[in-house]
Amino acid sequence: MARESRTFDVTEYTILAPIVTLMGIGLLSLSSAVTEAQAPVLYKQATWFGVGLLMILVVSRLDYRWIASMSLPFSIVVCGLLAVVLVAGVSGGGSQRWIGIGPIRLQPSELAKLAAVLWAAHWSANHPRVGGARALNLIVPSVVLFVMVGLVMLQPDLGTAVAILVAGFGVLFVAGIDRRVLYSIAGTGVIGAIFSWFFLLRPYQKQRIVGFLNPEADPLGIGYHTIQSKIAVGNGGVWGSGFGQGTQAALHFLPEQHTDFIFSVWAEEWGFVGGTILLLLFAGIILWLARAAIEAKDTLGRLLAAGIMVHFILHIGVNIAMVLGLAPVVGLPLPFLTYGGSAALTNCLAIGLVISVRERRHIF
Amino acid sequence: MSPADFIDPLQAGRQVERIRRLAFAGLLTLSVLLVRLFMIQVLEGDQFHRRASLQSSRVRQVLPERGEILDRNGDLLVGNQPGLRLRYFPDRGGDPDSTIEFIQANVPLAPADLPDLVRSVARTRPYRPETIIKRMSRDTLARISAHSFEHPELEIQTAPLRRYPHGPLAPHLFGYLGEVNDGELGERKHVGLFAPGDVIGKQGVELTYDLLLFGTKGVEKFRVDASGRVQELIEATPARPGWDLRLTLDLETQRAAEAAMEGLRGAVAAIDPENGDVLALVSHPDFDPELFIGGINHEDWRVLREDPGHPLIYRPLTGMYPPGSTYKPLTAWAAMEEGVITPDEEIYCPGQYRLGRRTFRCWRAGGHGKVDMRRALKESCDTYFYEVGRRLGIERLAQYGRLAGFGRKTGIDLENEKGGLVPDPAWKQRLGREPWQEGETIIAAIGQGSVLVTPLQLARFYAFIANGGHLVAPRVRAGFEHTDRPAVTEPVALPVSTVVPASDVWLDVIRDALEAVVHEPRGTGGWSRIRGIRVAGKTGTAQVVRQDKREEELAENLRDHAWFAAYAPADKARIAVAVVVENGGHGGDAAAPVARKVMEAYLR
Repeated sequence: MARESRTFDVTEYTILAPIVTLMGIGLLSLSSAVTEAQAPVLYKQATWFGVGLLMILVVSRLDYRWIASMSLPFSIVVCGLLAVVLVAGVSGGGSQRWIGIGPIRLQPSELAKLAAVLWAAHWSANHPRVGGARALNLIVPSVVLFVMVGLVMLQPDLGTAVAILVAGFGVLFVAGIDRRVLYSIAGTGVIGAIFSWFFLLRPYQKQRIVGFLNPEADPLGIGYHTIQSKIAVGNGGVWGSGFGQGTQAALHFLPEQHTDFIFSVWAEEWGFVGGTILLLLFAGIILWLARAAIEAKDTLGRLLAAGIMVHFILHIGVNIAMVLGLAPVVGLPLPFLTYGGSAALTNCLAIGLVISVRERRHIF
Repeated sequence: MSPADFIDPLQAGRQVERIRRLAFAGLLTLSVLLVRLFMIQVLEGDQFHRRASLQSSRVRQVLPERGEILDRNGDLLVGNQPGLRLRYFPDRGGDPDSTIEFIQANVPLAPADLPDLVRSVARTRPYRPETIIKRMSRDTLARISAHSFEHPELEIQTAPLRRYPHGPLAPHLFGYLGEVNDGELGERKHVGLFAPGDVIGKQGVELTYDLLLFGTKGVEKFRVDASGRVQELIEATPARPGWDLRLTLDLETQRAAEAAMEGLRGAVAAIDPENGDVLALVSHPDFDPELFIGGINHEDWRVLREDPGHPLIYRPLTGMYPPGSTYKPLTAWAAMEEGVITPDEEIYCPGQYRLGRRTFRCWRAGGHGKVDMRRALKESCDTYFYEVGRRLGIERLAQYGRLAGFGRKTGIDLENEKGGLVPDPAWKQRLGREPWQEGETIIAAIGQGSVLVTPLQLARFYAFIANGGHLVAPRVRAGFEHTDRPAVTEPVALPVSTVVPASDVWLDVIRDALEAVVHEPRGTGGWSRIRGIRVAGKTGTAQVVRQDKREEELAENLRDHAWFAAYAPADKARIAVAVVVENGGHGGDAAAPVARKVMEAYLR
């Protein structure tokens, strides 16, 4: 333990290179997408990125074991914030997702994703089971996850709820679950999906799924988002239309272009070349996260890095698949590109946590 | 160290294996996305590029100014006036009810069916704009444009409106304008460029020469944003105004003809015997073309349709009447050509004619005594023509009737012309009626029975007599011209007149007799005399044999139709005219004065 201070390894911070690059891409695309009147959005996002980078530095210096030990209080605070959202939140886009703290709009459901990973990893590391957890063992960790998921569903925000569930159970899956339990969970999932179609999903959510399956059926209605983003991406061609030249996003055919559809802005202006670069950067981050998980010195570190990797894979995969018309329109932000302070902060905290795991992998 | 790190050494390896699988799944997902990106951007890039440029630009059509209509001397007959209309674009958003409320509050005299129209358009075809107010005042314009920002779904457009400086003059001939309907759009597909909302000709020359009068649309291409706001003009092609149509019509003759027909029901057709130029075409009663400017309203339309005088029917072209005695020159010509009679042979008229067991009356009960051809025509002896008709037989009579242009359309450049009827045994057989009777032959020889002609056909037949056997093709178009462009006199091939092998000797006999009709004592057409000009003509009195007549009309419509057909000057005719006055009684009294006024107006 005495060597701990000397194990500080600057090379682990090289992961900041792709992250800062992604943030730069996010800001470039954002500046193309917004009008002059919306310029404050740009400065706000830049500020959030600055705060986020600072948080990476701070969190990476903290011991992840200490952070994980705080996961239950952290989860309780997040649940409290989610409750506040429901009671006194700010509405937008048909649901209630934000709480205003002065000029800042905080979206606690983003923090809930990290809380879910932290809690699941912490619990799994402290309650090992030979041969994997059985159904009864999973009740305790599930309760915390389901409280968060339930609160987010009430907003309602299906995409985020699924993201919390996937990240949390992703950790439990890596930690080890009895095969039979795994199958029954999968079975429950299918039944749950059918059940929610008939009893839970709001009409707009059902419409999105229908629109995804056949976007051309009603090009100005349900499928509008998907068709317009595909037109924008396709318009970019191989080399792109050039920075600031994207007609589709700039002329505002693209919906929500500076939130969930930011990838199409980038792909239109920088073409297939720019899109490939972006995908390679994300691939690099996923590989770095995988290596961090594999090389972690203890179960907790391994599960934390694995959960965060699942979180990133899910967000990158679903968001880009949605923009390219391969997935229904669900509100999962693209890490470091989508406008939004809470998501930026959450992702930076997560990266900082994994750097912390990397930094401490040689310590015994 | 957490408990997990001690309890099961194998656990770590299994966890790492799962992490590897998850990472692999993540990279696989990214690969799939890369392939998808390649498909959209590289393989289908061109297709999406086209769609992108398509939706970021809007093309607006610029309407050309419609050509004017002039008479043969260049006097303006139909002009233009600026008009405004209100169009509704349901796809630009807005609640139909608030649109209706706004229009009703700001447009005085908004049509009663407006709410239904707006709602049905918004529901059934929201992507297609619809004209909801066809003619707007400047005041209304000011009120609506003051609120245009709150109602982007409403757009004020200039609308081409016609102007009729001479009031109700030849309204059937000019026709009227109206918005193109779906059927017409389909017909005009091959012409291109026609779009819903375009105003086109619906009747008369406005219809026949619509494409030339319409002009060529201009195009303005704008770059727009997603909400349709115009960003910049990319390119513009100016509209080319339509050609002005110069008609063969003579304004003064037309006016005189309409004045002469005032208060009468019937028709006048006057043409130039040399080339078929239509000098006047009158149908009375008529209507005020002002009613049709910007679209006729339902009430006015109902009144016109239900008027017992049938003002919408264009009688000179579509009115079919038995020609009566005006047909006798045809019988005379056929008989002389066929050699069944010479001009000098006399036939005794005791006032009736016996054929088998039936007796046919001459109009003059006391009889004409012995008559030759000249006197038979001059005094319109029926008995003479019964005998001539019997000698000719129906086949030859019908054959000459068709040679003289009866029984088929004249081919005038106006829609809906009727062809009349030259009856013969084959026609009766086609209809499945009983066999042809000889009695019908001799009735046809005096222009009664089933013979039906239009006033235009009859005018052409008299031109045929005057010009020595040329069956001219009547036309109302003289040519097209434009102030900026050289005049086009014959942009479309005109039907040429047909030369019929008619012997001038026989036609001379008829011409001489027709002159006697007007100028000699006992002639039936004395009422058509013009001081200083020799006129040749023939009266006619047609029994009313309308096949579609209703019982309640019979009483007031029992009187005969009065005919007069003529040409003048007799030696070198410049005008041929046919006049029919429905239920006017005897042709010499009712129709001859009208013909005189028409010829006088043209020849003076």
